[in-house]
Amino acid sequence: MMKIRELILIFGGLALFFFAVTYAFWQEGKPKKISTPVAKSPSEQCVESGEYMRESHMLVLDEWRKSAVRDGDRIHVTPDGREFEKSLSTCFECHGSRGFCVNCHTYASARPNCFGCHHEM
Amino acid sequence: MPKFAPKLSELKKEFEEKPSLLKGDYPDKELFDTPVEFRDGNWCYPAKPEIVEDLGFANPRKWAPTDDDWKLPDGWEKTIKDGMKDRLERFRSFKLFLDTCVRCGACADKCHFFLGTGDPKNMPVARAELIRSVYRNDFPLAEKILKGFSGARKLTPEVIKEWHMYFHQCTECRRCSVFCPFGIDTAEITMMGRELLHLIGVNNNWILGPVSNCNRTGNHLGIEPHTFVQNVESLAEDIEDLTGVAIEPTFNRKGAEVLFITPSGDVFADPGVYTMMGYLLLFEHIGLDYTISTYASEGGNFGFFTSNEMAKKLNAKMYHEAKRLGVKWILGGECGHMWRVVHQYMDTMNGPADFLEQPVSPVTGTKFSNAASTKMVHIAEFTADLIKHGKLKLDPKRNNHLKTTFHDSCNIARGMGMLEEPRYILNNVCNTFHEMPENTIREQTFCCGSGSGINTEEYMDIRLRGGFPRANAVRHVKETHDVDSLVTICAIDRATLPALMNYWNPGVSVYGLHELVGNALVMEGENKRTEDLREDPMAGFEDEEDDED
Amino acid sequence: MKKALMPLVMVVLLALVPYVAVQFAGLDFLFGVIVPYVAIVVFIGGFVYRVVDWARSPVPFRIPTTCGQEKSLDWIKQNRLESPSNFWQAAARVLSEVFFFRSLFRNTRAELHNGPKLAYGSSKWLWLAGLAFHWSMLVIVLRHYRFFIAKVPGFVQLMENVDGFLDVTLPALYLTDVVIVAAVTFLVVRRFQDAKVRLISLPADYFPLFMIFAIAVVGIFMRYITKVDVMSVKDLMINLVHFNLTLPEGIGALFYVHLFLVCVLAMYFPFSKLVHMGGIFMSPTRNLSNNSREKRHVNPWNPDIKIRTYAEYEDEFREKMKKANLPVEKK
Repeated sequence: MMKIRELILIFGGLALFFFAVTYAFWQEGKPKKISTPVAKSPSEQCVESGEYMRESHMLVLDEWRKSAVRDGDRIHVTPDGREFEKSLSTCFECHGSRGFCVNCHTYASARPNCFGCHHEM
Repeated sequence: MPKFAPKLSELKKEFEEKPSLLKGDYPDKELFDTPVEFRDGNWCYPAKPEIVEDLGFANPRKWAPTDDDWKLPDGWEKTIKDGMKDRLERFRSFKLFLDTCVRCGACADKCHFFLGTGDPKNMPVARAELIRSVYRNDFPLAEKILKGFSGARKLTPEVIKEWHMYFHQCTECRRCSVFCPFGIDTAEITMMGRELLHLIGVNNNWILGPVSNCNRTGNHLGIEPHTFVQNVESLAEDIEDLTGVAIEPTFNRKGAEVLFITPSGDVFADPGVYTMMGYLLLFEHIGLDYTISTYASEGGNFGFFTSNEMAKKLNAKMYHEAKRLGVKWILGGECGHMWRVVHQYMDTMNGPADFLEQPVSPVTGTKFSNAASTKMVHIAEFTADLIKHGKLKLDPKRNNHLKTTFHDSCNIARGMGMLEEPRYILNNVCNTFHEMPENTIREQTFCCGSGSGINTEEYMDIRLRGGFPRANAVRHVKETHDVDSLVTICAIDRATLPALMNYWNPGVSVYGLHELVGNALVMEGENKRTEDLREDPMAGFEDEEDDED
Repeated sequence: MKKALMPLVMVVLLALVPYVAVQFAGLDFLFGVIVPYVAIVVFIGGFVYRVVDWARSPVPFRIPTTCGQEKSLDWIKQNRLESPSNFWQAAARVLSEVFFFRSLFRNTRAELHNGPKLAYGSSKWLWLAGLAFHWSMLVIVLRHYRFFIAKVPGFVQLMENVDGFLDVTLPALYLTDVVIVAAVTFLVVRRFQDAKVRLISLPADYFPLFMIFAIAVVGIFMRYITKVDVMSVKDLMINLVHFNLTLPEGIGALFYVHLFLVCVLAMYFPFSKLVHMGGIFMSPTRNLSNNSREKRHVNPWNPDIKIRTYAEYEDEFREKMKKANLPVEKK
């Protein structure tokens, strides 16, 4: 025999626990369709493979920022000898605009700090 | 030096030289690999078979912990396991405390027995592991699969020996529970451990003897009614000799307003009797309409140290007698575990006390709303209220010959929460009160080392070690403030602290709080007082002939 | 050390299993879909079972550990938190334990000096590390909602901003990542260094610490060093919470290590000491108010006990009582 208040507290607590753990299950939403880049020409390749860029583009951009701003080295040379100017504008030549980034970044709740200075809207 | 006490010099040497876990030395054996060793001074005599039989406990027989074979009854393993299962279903505390410990170690150095013995199994967490290891082996879920992983082990006679030893090296003082982040209370574990041991006849005569006495004669000491009366009356005579005030307490009187119940140690044992004299003087001073019962003549409850059923059986007498006598409410004397039972168990076990009234002080009119249901008031609450309302004529200078400190008893501090009242009283009846260091008082107070029914002579070795942290704190105020008087509100303290003080701090005497009240009370029509209740001379009240010198 | 070795080996093996299985055996579906579902069912079911199991045992007696002045006379100040006298005060007491580890804050360290003399020093490191560990853990768990909810809730974004406010490294360094690794390290080292704690530590104490350490380190690797495709990871999680059993392509094996260790920990949780998460709320020495003399606490199994009545007592002692002029019921 348990007192009513104790029952309410224990099962209320368990309900709260259940709700907290399964919180995500109750939320609406679908997986995002990832925007695909529109290449200038079909033969044009990005600085690295698509797979690498999906996971690690921020490392490339971070490296660009450091070498371009600090060392004045503004040209990126890919292993196969192609050259790119280290600039977000270079990216946007194929990838459209900032909207291309925002789409996924919002979905993953990863907030880039690029746009504080560059390509402000 | 008592027979079962270690030599002070040897014990000091042991503290200083022997490697110990307390000092950070890692033992060469793991926790459960060290066998228990019973030797002089670390075990209590087992209960006499006739007492065990009379009380209805299991397996009466002659045996001793030093025997190889403890003559456990057939199928004792099953008895223990069934007993555990039964208690897990009846006590959430037991189940929860076995399950939630994370072994963070916060409790490890909080136990007075660990501090006094350095024995790893006296860390509260380890004490609980003694049962937990068996529990894991047979009861819960997945950890069973990985035995070595979670410290599970089989129930063997060695385990029972270990339980017996270490559940009697726990005084159920709850100090560990203050520090535990989950409030795990080793007292609960120890109580369950002792209940289980009683199921197979592993017991202690110093507990069962008083239980049996209390059941038959109404008090632990086995005092029969006529002797009880004689003794209180002789205390009243002592008071008259000393103060000139005649006091005539009544016994078993129907229609009194208040039933007064105190531990029988206050009636019979030195220095408790001086506390009793203090009560008698106080009641006379305020003209209280009270009576004392020879049937419910015990405040303490050693049944509490055997099983909750036995605690209930002995405690039931208080309400039974209050009802028969038709009193309005009950006033309780100074005692530790008595108040644990009265405060946290009595109403649940033997209530509701709807034949009593909510206690009201007849002198001040104060309603004790905190005792509205149980209808039992602690004498310190009662007296503090009297002092606050200016109803007592007190001369605190009469205690100037004592330099006092106050020992919170464990149960009052951690099982009731009465911390301020005794201090308020003490500050009003004496001018020389000094607190011990803050980690040793109030909710962090240290046990006398002999609570929960182990205050027997043959257990002196363990008692002196267990009492070491308390003694150490007293020594601190002895050295810094010349304290020579240890004031307590617990009958077990009054019975056991004198031996502890003699051993560690010779020159410190033990007093009850109401003994000091009795010293300070200025009674109507009293003779000129020159001596306190112990007939020790009071400072500044010498006879006039002395003054002329 | 022996007691720490087995759990260490266990954690390493547990980490290798999904790595090998995904990298070489192509068991992505097992580790990406089946195991997580099993884990969450076991976690929730097990935890609820444990709590309900505790709740089934009654609390026969009102046994709060009073760590402060009780409510008594009007003019004596009650310690409402440490000696609560009503439900709300007791609730505040429990919450102060849950959120601030109040009892652990009291921790002291006893030292035995020559004399012999005992001294008690303040010892708050365990409290600090414990608190830092648990709070970091909570923040980290809540931050992970960003992987499970398509439109990331505001409180999660707020938490990310605050946690990453230092804005060093790319992506921004989370303080909790640093704190949890430091705190777990402290807790492990403490178990080795303090002889008392070392003696009482079981493999079952090291195991969750090593697990959490491994989970945190793998997570940190994925965030800062060896990247995984966050979009696919989130797609997988969104699929899972909507019971869509398709597995996105191309998630790195490291992610499966992280996920699998979390799943194992979740399944281990209800059956180990980790249930202290629920236990802390139910502890009768903390969650009961200290008002047992004011209000009667009922024991549902209060046994009927035959007592020795006054009548029996008088029967035995009547003559002696009469001689002592004690009143008797039967002449």
